Amino acid sequence: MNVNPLYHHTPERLKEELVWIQRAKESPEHFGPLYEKYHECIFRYIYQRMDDQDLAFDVTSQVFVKAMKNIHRYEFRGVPFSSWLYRIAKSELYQSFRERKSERYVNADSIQLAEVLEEWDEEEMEVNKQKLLKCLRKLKDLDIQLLEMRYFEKRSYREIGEIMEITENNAKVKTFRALERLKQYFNTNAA
Amino acid sequence: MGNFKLNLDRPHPDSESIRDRQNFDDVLTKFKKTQVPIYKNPWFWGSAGLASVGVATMISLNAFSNNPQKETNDKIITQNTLELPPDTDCLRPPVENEDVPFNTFVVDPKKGAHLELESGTTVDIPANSLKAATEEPVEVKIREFRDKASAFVAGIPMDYEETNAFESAGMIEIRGEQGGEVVGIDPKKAIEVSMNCTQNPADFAFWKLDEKNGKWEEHPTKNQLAASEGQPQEVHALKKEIKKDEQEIKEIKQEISTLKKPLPQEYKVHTPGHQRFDLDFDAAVYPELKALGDLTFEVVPESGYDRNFTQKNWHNVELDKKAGKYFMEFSNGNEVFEIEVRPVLENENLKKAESRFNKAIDNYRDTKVALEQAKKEAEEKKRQHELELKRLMEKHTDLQLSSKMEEENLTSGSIRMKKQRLDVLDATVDFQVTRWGLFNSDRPIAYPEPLAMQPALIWKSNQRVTDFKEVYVFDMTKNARFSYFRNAPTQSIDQLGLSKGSELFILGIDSAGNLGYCQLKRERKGEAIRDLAFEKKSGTENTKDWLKRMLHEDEPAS
Repeated sequence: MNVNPLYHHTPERLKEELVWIQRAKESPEHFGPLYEKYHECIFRYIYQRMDDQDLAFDVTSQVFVKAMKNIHRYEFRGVPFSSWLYRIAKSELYQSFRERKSERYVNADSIQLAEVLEEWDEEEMEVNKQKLLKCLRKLKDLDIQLLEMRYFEKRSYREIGEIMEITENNAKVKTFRALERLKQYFNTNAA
Repeated sequence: MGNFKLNLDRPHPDSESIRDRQNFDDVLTKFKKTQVPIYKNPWFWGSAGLASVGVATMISLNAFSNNPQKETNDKIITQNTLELPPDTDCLRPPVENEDVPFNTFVVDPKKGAHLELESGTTVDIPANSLKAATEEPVEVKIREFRDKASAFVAGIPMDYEETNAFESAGMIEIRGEQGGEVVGIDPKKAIEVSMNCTQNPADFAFWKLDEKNGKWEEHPTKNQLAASEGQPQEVHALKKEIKKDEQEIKEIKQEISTLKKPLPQEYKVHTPGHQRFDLDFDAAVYPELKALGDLTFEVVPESGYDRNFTQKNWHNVELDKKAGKYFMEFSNGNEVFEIEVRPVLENENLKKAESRFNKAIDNYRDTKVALEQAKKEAEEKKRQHELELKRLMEKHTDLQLSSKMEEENLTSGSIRMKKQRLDVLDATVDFQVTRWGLFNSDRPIAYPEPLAMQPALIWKSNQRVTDFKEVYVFDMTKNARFSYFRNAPTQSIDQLGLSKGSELFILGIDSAGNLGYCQLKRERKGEAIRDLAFEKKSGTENTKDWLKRMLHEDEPAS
């Protein structure tokens, strides 16, 4: 499992980031370093869930506008700044789906599907991948969100927990359950 | 089922192209545009500014006076929307593309709001009651169902248990979201609703729809709370939380008990010199072998193996398992030969099997640890809820005692008057909301007995039998609907029941989505009805308005 280097900070980098946040609270012009640091990961998070790249860039900008507007509310309580941004991103994303009537997408790679199949000791054949895709469509939104973060975005349970506002362990258990449901659909040919 | 589309192998944009689109200046400009509204500038609060506010307020009040919704908070706007939040799977509008729109109120979560609906129903949202991700406004969506037509069009389930339908005195649905995400409600700052009913609510119970299973559950009203020892809503909310905690603990325990520890598979390392066979076997019959991956079968030399069998021609060979041992069975029509074999692995296949087993064991351990931890967390949550409940109950008992003492000391005054007021029932039901959903002042009425002789359901136009998938019987004298479905285990269309004495309006929907209707009054029990002839709904009038007209619900209430 890959580790998101932006999420797992060293104490020094965390300190540096807290200084940036403090400065951004004092003046929005100082938000720049935070924008530069998190622009790509927020964009990827949004683009992962939609199909229109230009729109994804627009929504990303909107996330940062909202973040600048609300930064006075941000307090460091052990929760990384990125997860606070992700929560705003999630809210903006759904706002965009509603306002622009755009559709929610789930983007997966063949390699990631193969990894899931491998975990189940299933052969990584094309037919199984197609079956898995069909089964994914059967899942509820919450299950999809969890599996998407864990398997398609390679996030740690801790990070998933922060984004979903649940404990790390709860994220783990819920993801296991989601995977189990997916496996059940797969095994019972429910697709 | 999730509502999304799937893309496979869409190219990932590279970091450079994303960086090229970074534009902090643009974001800063957009941010600045959102800042410091004119009225927040100090200079604005001069005499000229105040005068402008006066004029603006008058204009906006005039504009709002034409709106059917009344608001007491000038930050509230309303609009009708058909969008449903994603957690309402159990509400299935029966007519395609038709639903009852919500009234949407935009509420500042910091300030809360007092909302008034056209029916007279009021909704009080305390300040800081809505728990949202940001300080942005929250959309509170409300719709009321005060007649049969609107409850039908919105697909509100109106059955209670298997043998009863609901007669309704009013229903209200309340949702809250921010940017499409459902917001929470602080249980300590519950939303207060005073719902105006169409009948005396004292004759009805009060319910909330459990959206997970589509069943109605009793929900306490404030009057009930006052009557039942005056336990505050917080106590009820906590008791519910504790029940939920218990359920969660039960589920986790169940999951732990059903976790299967992967057992090391029986296999041997190939012994040089022993004869081996490569054999295809049915993975569904031998899952334990499938788990080993690419294996071969080695003859067990101690099993009295006779190499001469290889001199013969065999037409068929199959794998068999007896008493935990594997056998290869050779046959050629006349003769059958059997030798004991064992699965063997070597080199890469051996390594792969070992790593697969280790992974399965790791996965099992991880899951077990996570579940044990989740159980601990749930138990701790339950303990905290129980402590909180204990604290509340003690506080409540103290309050009751002091209130009783006060009442004894008072010769006249407000408490007695208050008690008298409680006894006077008006047409509203007051309740508190700590979770969004659908609330209902209803009473169960039994489904009528199925008719001894089931009538043929036919189209009036061609006298042909219909293929209705759903049939709804509306009692014109009650706000009630009996629902029948094709091939349903209970209340199936071929078990139709029609109450006697009442005027009935019967609505059917066929597989193509056509609506048909007929009206009927059964004068006496046992009266045979040979057929029910349905007329097709024609025209483009929407179903709600049409049904209201047909059910005489468009007329003002007497």
